[in-house]
Amino acid sequence: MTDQLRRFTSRRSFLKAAGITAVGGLAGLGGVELAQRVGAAQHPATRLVASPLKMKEMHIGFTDGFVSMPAAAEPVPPFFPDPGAPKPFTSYVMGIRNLTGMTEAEMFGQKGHGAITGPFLFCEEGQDFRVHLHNLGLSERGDLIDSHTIHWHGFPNQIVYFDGVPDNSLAVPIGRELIYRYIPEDPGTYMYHCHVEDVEHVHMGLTGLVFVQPALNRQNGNKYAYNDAATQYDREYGFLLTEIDNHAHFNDRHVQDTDWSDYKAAFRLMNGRAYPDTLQLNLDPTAASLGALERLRYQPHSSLIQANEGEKVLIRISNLGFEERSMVLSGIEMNLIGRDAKPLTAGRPDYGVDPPAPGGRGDISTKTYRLDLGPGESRDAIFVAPKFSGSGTADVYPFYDRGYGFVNKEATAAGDGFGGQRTEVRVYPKNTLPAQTRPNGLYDLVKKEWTWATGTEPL
Amino acid sequence: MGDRDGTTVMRGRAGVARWLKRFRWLPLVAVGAMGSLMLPTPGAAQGAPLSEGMVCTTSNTASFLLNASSGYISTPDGNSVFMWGYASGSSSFQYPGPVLCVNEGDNVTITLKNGLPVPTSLVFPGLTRVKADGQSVQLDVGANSLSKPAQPNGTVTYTFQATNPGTFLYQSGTDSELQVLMGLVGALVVRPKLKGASGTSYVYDDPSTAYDSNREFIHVLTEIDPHMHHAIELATCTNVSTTPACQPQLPPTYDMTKYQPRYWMINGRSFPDDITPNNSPALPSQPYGALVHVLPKTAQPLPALVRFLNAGPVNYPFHPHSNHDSAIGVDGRVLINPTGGQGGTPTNTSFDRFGFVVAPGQTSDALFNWVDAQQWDPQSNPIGVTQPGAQNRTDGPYWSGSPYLGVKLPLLNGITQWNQCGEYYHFAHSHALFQATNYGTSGGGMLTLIRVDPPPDVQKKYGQNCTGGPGY
Ligand SMILES: [Cu+2]
Ligand SMILES: [Cu+2]
Repeated sequence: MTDQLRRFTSRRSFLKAAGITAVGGLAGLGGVELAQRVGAAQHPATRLVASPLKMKEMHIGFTDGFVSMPAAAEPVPPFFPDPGAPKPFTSYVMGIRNLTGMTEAEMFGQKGHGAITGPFLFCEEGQDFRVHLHNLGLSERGDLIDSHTIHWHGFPNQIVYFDGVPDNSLAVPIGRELIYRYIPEDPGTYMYHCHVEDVEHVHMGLTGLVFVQPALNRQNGNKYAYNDAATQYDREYGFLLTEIDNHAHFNDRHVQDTDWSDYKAAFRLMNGRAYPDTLQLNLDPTAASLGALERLRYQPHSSLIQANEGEKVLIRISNLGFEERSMVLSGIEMNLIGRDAKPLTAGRPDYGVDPPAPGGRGDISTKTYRLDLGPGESRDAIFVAPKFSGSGTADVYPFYDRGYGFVNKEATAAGDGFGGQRTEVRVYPKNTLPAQTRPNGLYDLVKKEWTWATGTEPL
Repeated sequence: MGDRDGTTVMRGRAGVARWLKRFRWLPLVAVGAMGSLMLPTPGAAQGAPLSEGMVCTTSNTASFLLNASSGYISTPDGNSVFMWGYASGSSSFQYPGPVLCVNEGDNVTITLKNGLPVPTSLVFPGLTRVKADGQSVQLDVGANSLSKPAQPNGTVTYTFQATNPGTFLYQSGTDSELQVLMGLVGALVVRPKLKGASGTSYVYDDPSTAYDSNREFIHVLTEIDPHMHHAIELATCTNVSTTPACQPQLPPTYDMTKYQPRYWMINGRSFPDDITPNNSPALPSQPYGALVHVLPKTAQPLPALVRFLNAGPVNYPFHPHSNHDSAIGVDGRVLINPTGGQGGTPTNTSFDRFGFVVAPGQTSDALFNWVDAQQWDPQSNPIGVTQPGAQNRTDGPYWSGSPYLGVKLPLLNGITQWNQCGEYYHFAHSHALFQATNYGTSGGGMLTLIRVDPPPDVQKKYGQNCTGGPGY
């Protein structure tokens, strides 16, 4: 246990004992620090001081673990399924767990139980957002003593201390904790990942989605992607695209080196799952039992899209694979309104103006049925759920990788090429689904209850 | 050349560390003089000064001589790779070819002298009405050539008028799928008619494309399959002495289904070689560095310019850390729609990217600046979170040891500190992360650093004196 861990744990316990929540209590601290900023030269930090927002503080842990590619996927002996993976899993990964609210013992209890993809990190524009990174160590590879970092990929005007590149700043060794502090000024969709041994740690699964909600949200209770009324939406779904090269994952489990210039993806994942697992609802990795879905315990995030007819749906999508993607939504027109966490609509800010002020740039949003995005890019698109056709329980529209990563298989193989980036938009009659209160929240229409994505729990 | 004669052995990180350190003692020439302020000396020329930023090869008459020739380059893992490339005028082989800078409206003459054992030619994608030996350029299907080729030891002269400002590639048009990969590529920059006050330059004839004249950078993106290059070296009997004598197989071929890149480069160098200065004597045939060196916006009001050119065969998804790049031009055309605004007025269609994907053959011009957004300061505005002590962190060699710009502290024991004056180093790299490797080993390849120096007043406050980047 480090001094730092001890200190923070005890402060949390103290606050709990005092009958206030940790976040509420610490928000006061954030306020004090921000108040010191009044009069800071040149930069209008004062608008942060004026922010009514409470500090948001999360804890996440990086470790290793096992996940499952689709049960019927074609075997590639000896690499897939990995003979070293305990049942019901198929593949060794590095993964992330949300440790927020856990005791220190509970935190270290997650070692070896990493999940792909990581918890959704999000906050509001101007919010004091702090993420504690805990390096829990690797259960399977005691010989690897790698440090970890969080790189908030795309954060504008970052300082190196919070940028998470180990060569250019600091990283957190096993058993220790490092705090990243963000005061994001630009709403939009980003991604985060470890930057230690980057090709390996990113590919092995230390990846997640991060997004910033605009100040406009605070005005009238509506939700917007950017500070532009044209970007209003009713439901939002975030997607992180990644890939799995079976050889690289096998090598990491079996203490073999990988020549990364031989990289070849086998599975293409949305939110850590491959089709058809993408269609399962969100799961809670801390649940006592997951029944038949036990194999997806450490792939908690669904890629399903639900909407009532006529609702506006925001798709946030980031690519942390190493391949370029062309994602097609069949049958529904999308409006591409954001790219790399910058709005594309009229009145978008000029470059390099601080604070970002609307400038002379024109509207370059486009209507499309397809989203292109290369490694390290993000897109925001909004569509209106079409009128329900009147037959069945839901109209289904496929949203899929036009590279058909999911049909690549040998002619003799079983499993119909399961394993790609493919999901569904399910459109229901009016008032079927209750209002969505958290990002990526999915409603279980059978059990009449919500399933939530990790990291979206209210604090 | 490389480890071929045993003079330079760089293996693994320790080797690179030693090598970088050596160059810190070199006499510092032309500190702060960058880009277009540099003398127009071709990189591979003997004794060319160390510098940062884009180095232009210029000519009063817009006439250039390119010698297609062979040579060797070195990679950070100690490999030495046989190349074809262009030498400028009387200089020796270099990779990539010299950056030719001309002015809008110039009548440009480029003479290609072929020192290779195979026919070769030049094409200029994005330029129109190019003539070869006075005739309009025609396909030569029989010679698998997109332009009129020069035979071995022969010469062809290409002429055109540089009608549009912007960034362009020049490259081999003969047996291109092989010759371009072998290294027959270079950059051509056409400067606009629009001229600014001292220190202000424009990319295009539009004031919105202004940049700091002293902060002009270029990133020519390429990749190399060393096995292919070795096969061509053997097939052409280059430096092969056998009995009986080696018989060249002409034209040399390579089974492109076996093509597998292992090195990815910016300006012909892989990280960390690419952060050393232009004309580094350790890289005699790779004259161009790729370090991007800026000041915060308060001290450098105009943005820097980075010209991206993809001379490779696949898309490169380039990711600049620290701030978005603003794409203001693509393929030698400014991103302004002349009639797209209200009432048919011009509208600015430039856009900001943290994933800067460049397609094969594409060029794109990016403005870049870094704003000290939070103005963190150890006294007046601390970062507000605890910096872990020595037992609770690991340090990287480019770090200042402090969160604050201009503050330099010792790093942990055992870490060599390459930070000079409390400056920030940010990564900029391909996010197809296997391309940010040297033959599969992470922390190399198509990766460079963006260096942000503390503003002069902050340097003064902390007693710092920032000069050149790493490698000086
Ligand atoms: Cu890591
Ligand atoms: Cu990244």
